[in-house]
Amino acid sequence: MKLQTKATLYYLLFVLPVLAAGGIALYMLLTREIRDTVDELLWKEKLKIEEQVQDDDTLDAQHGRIENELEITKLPGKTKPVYFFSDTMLFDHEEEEVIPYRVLTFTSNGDMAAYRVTLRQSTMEADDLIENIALVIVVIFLLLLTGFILINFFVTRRLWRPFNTMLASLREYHPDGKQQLKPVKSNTYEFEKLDAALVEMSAKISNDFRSLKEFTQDASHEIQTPLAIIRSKLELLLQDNRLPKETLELAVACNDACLRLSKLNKALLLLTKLENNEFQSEAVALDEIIAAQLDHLQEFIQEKDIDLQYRLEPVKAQCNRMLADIMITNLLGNAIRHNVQNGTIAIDLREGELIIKNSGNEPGMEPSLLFERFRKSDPSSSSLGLGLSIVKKIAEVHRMKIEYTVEDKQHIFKLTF
Amino acid sequence: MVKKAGSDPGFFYSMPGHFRLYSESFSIFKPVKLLVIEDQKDLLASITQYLGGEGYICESAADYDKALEKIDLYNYDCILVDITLPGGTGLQLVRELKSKRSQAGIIIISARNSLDDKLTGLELGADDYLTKPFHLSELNARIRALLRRKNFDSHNEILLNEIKIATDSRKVFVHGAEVQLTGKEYQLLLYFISNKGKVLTKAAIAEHLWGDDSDQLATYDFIYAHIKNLRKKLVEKGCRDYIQTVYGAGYIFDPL
Repeated sequence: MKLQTKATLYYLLFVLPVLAAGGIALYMLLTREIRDTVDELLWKEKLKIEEQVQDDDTLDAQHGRIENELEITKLPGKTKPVYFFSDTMLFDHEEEEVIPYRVLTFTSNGDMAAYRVTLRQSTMEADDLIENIALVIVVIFLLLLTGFILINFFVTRRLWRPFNTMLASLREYHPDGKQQLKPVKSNTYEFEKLDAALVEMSAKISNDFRSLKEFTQDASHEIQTPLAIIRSKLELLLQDNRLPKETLELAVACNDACLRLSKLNKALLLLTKLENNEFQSEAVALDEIIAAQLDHLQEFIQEKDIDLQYRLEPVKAQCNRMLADIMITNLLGNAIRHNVQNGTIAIDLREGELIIKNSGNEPGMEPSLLFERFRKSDPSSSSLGLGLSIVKKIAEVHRMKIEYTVEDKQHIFKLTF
Repeated sequence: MVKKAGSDPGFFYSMPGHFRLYSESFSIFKPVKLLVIEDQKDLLASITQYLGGEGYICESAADYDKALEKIDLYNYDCILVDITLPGGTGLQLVRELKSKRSQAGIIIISARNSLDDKLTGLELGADDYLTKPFHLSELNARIRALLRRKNFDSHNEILLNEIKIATDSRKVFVHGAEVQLTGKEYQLLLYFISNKGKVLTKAAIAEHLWGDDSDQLATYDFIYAHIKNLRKKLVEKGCRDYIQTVYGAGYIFDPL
């Protein structure tokens, strides 16, 4: 539920009872006041009549009285003076309708006779007044309600606009270090504060992110230099023919490990660059790249006596040339490396997809896991386990999809673009 | 990936272990002068040691100002420039060299595998580009190739005892008789001869022949098969078996 609606409901929860209670109270107060006034009037009349009875001992019936207002009944003997108030409805010939009356009935003792007097006063106007007042109250109430709802709807919508803008831009925000939240202007104190906090936070995130990426890249670069030094010294070491065989073997082992480290560093560097998304795309003829690579890898294919079948349609894809090259090299290299003697490789390139199938041994793990970093189907092999993660990352960067399945000893890689 | 240059004008090996450049304009043999500009002292030492052993005259500069000084004072046949120099990039040095109309061959070395740097460097007039870390033997092979290219004389042959390599036509002769070599075998022979007397590791050979993307596919056996074939073909034509296995380390072309 929206905040506006909630606030409205809470407010209504308060307003409704208050207005209702107030209305009822007002009504009752008015009614009582009017009643009291009428009663006082009747009482004064009573006193006047009692005086008359004392003085006169005769009651002049109804002179100057309006119909229904006075009734006098002579009583047989003295009686206890009592009085009581009541209400009644009588038909009025002038108004031609039944109207309400307030009634005061009392008995009065004169010297010689006793009378029961009934005084009546019309409360029609009073009642009308009260009705009108009640109506006005209800109308005011409805007006307040409608007004409140309308104001809520239009004014608060405008008031909340900066907030909604902030919300929308937050939704689109990616903390990848490239975007920053744009400040949203508002003259509402809370939103100003919120906006300032958000902008500051996004700036900090951007900075941190960028530092981290730069750090990763810088670290990789820094590693290159000592690596280069180690390799160069080892290479010089290997030139020394006075070294005994065992020493030479140690140097070679160091060199091999160093080369591995170099490759690892280079691969990681590529992965971080891919994360930074710093590459430009162009229309690249994939069939040409594949053909060139196959040519380059010809000897290795022949070495394993692999039966190579391929069908390359002249397909262009929007991507970075160098990355496409790396991706295809990795895929084809894998297809050869993990193949068996006299195995097969089948390549099918058509609009929108590239399929590479090769024979080989069981992967030994869940196919989707192979794309993770440092995963190798053969743990003892000298490969780094990064080739497929690089392929996957390159595919991601270009919004392509890469899938890997195994079907009767055939490894199938499918790239959709 | 390794890209090979077109025609290779030749030079003479008049003495083992020394490299002489025949300069037609002066009709004298003069030793090849190299300038290595690299700020990392250890690496600089390695490079100058290796190249010195190759018979080059090797000078060095570890920063931009020193390098500029040397370039102003002397002429070099080939200059190795590290782009990531303190105090002004190596690319600036390349510009300087070109503005002085220097005839020196320029090879850029860089720790950054940046395509932009590479393109800029080559556009500015550098002749080749190597990324650190590299095999010293690879660096040497590139220098040799560059010098061959630069020397646009009619001499386009490499002579070593009974072996003659015609770099224009990529033909190899032993005692005058042609030896049929495959593309890779030819490259291998050239690599060995460029680095004669030096131990070449299997990794260096694999990288030279197949680039550093595919060298994983080149197993020891695979390389050994190529070398074996090369040796066999040479020896069949009466060549001495110069290529030797250095147990545990790699191979060496031993001209002695």
